[in-house]
Amino acid sequence: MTDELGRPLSGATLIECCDDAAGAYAAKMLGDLGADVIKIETPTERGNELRRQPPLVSMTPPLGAMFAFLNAGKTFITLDVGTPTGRALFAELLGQAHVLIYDVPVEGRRRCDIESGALRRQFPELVVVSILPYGESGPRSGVPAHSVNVFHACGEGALLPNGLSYDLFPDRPPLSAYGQVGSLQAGVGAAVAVMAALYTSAGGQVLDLSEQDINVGLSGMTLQRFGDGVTENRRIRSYAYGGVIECSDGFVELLILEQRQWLGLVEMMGRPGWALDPRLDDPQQRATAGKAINQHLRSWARDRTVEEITALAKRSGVPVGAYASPEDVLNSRHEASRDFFRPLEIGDAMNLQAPALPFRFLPDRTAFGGGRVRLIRGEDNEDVFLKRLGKSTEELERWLSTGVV
Amino acid sequence: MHVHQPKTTPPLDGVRIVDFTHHAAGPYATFFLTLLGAECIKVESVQRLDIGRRPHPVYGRPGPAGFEQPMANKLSATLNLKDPRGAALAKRLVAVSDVVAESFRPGVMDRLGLAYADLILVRPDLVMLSISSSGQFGLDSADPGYAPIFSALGGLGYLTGYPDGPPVEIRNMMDNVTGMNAAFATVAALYQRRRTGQGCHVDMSAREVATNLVGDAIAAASAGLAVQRAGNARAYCAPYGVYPCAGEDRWLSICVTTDAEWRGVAASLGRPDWLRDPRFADASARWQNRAALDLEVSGETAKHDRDALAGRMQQARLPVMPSLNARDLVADEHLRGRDVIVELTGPEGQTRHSLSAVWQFPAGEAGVTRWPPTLGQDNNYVFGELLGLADDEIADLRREGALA
Repeated sequence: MTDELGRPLSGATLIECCDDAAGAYAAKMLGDLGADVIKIETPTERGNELRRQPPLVSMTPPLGAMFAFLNAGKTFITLDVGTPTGRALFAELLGQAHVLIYDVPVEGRRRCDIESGALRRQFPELVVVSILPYGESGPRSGVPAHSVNVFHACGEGALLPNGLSYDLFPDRPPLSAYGQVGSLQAGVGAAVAVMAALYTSAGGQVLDLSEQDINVGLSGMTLQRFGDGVTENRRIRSYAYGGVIECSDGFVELLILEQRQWLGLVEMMGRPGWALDPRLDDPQQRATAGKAINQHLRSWARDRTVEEITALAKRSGVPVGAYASPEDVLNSRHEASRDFFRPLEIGDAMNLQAPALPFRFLPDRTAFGGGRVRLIRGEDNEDVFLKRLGKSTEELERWLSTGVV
Repeated sequence: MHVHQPKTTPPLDGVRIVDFTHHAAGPYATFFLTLLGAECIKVESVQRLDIGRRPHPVYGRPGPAGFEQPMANKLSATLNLKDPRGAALAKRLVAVSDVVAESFRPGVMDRLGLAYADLILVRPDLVMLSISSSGQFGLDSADPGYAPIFSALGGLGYLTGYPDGPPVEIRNMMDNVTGMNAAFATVAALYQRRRTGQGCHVDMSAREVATNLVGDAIAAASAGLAVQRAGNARAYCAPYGVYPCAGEDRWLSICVTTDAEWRGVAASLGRPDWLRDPRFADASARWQNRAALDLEVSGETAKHDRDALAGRMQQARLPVMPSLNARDLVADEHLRGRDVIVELTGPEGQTRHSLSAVWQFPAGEAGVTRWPPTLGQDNNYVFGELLGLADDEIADLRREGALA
């Protein structure tokens, strides 16, 4: 089932019916590994669509960067599953597929007769993956949520920011990580579940996935500390020393976890007198003196550039990482040496890129990702309805004019 | 309501992992695989205790963790890999396993004689998982890294934070999502092996996980568009953020993206006058006047108990959610009903909360079943049962330091 690129999911067909980022991201990961992903959008535009969410990488028609990143390489059709004909066409597509990923709200599933149990009975070999903010079952199952809600639903939102940002702004609201990280993380979890379902020989099944459940799954340390008797909060979850350090032209992150790294830090800073205090040889004493260490560290770093400090740290074996902007990451020599960025083909645009999946199957160094993104919804309707499902041109034209497709 | 389905075995039933990972990302990767049913043998040594078994003052942890979440569900076997007999036993264990996982800096496994090239001699179809900060090859591959460092290198730290503030370090969650990506890649590799008979060496780069989480910003940057820190905001959506409720550190996330949701929020907060205010008449106006809008909304939410307000608004199907802490999570009826968090009982009758059903698989097999092992707890099973060593052989190896 692998193709010449070594992609394991070649030959698998996945139907994606997702408005939000989580399911779309899971389908993207599976598509990057070779699955044929058919993405269903509604025939007409609705408010607040991911397609038009800025920043826009295309203006005519508008196409958002997030939509482009999530949907490169997919086949794009339009279909209104709420109509009887649309429902029947949906069933034909499912009959030829191995996986369905959908995030239609629970109420909408009932109205359109596409509840997961019903689909499972109709298609016994199909892996039906429901991805909703809080799942299909439980007291909160019908409640809508967006990425910031999800991030704050898992325990991590209450802990950001800590360190320097919290010191500067202790009274401000807690933060979600950038953008739609909560939803993308849920997408990663969904991809794991789909992959595991395909791996089994159990045939079809329903996976009731929740964005909150998966993100809670990524908050294990928070739970663990609670069991230790500590309910973490932004104020106390802070490294004793190190963390976000401002340089003359940006920021670096510095973290010392081993004794040899501390010795390297002392060397890196030129063996200043304060660092040679023998009490600082002991990790516990260093933790107690953390504020004072940070004052020295910040004062030292303020006059040096990110590049300078990164180079010094590399020589001394001190774990340091520059806070890289998206431009910095795109221009990273390290990532160029890994051929990490893949082209996004959008209309005539020649220069657009996206990160590949964050892993390779060595010894083959092929990076997986990128591909074509359709500017117009339904651009692959003919390919799917005429060629794959064998419908006639007249039928398709009638469905287009009545809004079924 | 759960859909009734015939009982099946866990997805990764029968898969055995030899786990050399340490710290966070690696142990979480293998932990997630155990939730899916894999057997995981954590190979440890007193020469180099994993972080969970020792104190770490820089984290504010004066003693070792009594319960290490990522060690739940695993077995523990001790081996001194620097002893030739220990290294030989490691290879024998690999020969009867499906997956080897490690998270050392690239080069360490080579020096131990346990590189992929060495291990496929004993298990030709092996799937080896290597997790590192910057990957197994590339200019920075030898550099050390931890979660806040690779989230900075990957672009996620830069983009997280208040618009007028510094970048923000992403900590354990960055390790865990790296682990989850690694679990995905490992199952994909096992799937490939099932079809082709060939294994592979999975090269997982943690900083590239971070870059994927900001993949939209990368695409935008390639189009010449700069993306900056935006706090909790989402472009052209307002109110969209986190708002204070009554009491100390009690916050409610409210994420309005449609006019219908806005009307619902105004009604729930008892402010129908907002709907007549031209500043908030439509999405565009609300975005233009978002600073004033946030002040208005905060002024109202601050009068209310967080959970009571959230309950009413969620009943009205509005996109709101309290900013939950650990205490909130373990008390959450919805999560407990889905077995996401369960109570485990340890060997001495002690109980702890643990993650469990992160995924709802049919008949509920995906979850946690074992308390974290003590160091070397499963040596007899691993060396006796799996590798067929006699009791006196095991005793000799222990005495001579090969199992330490």
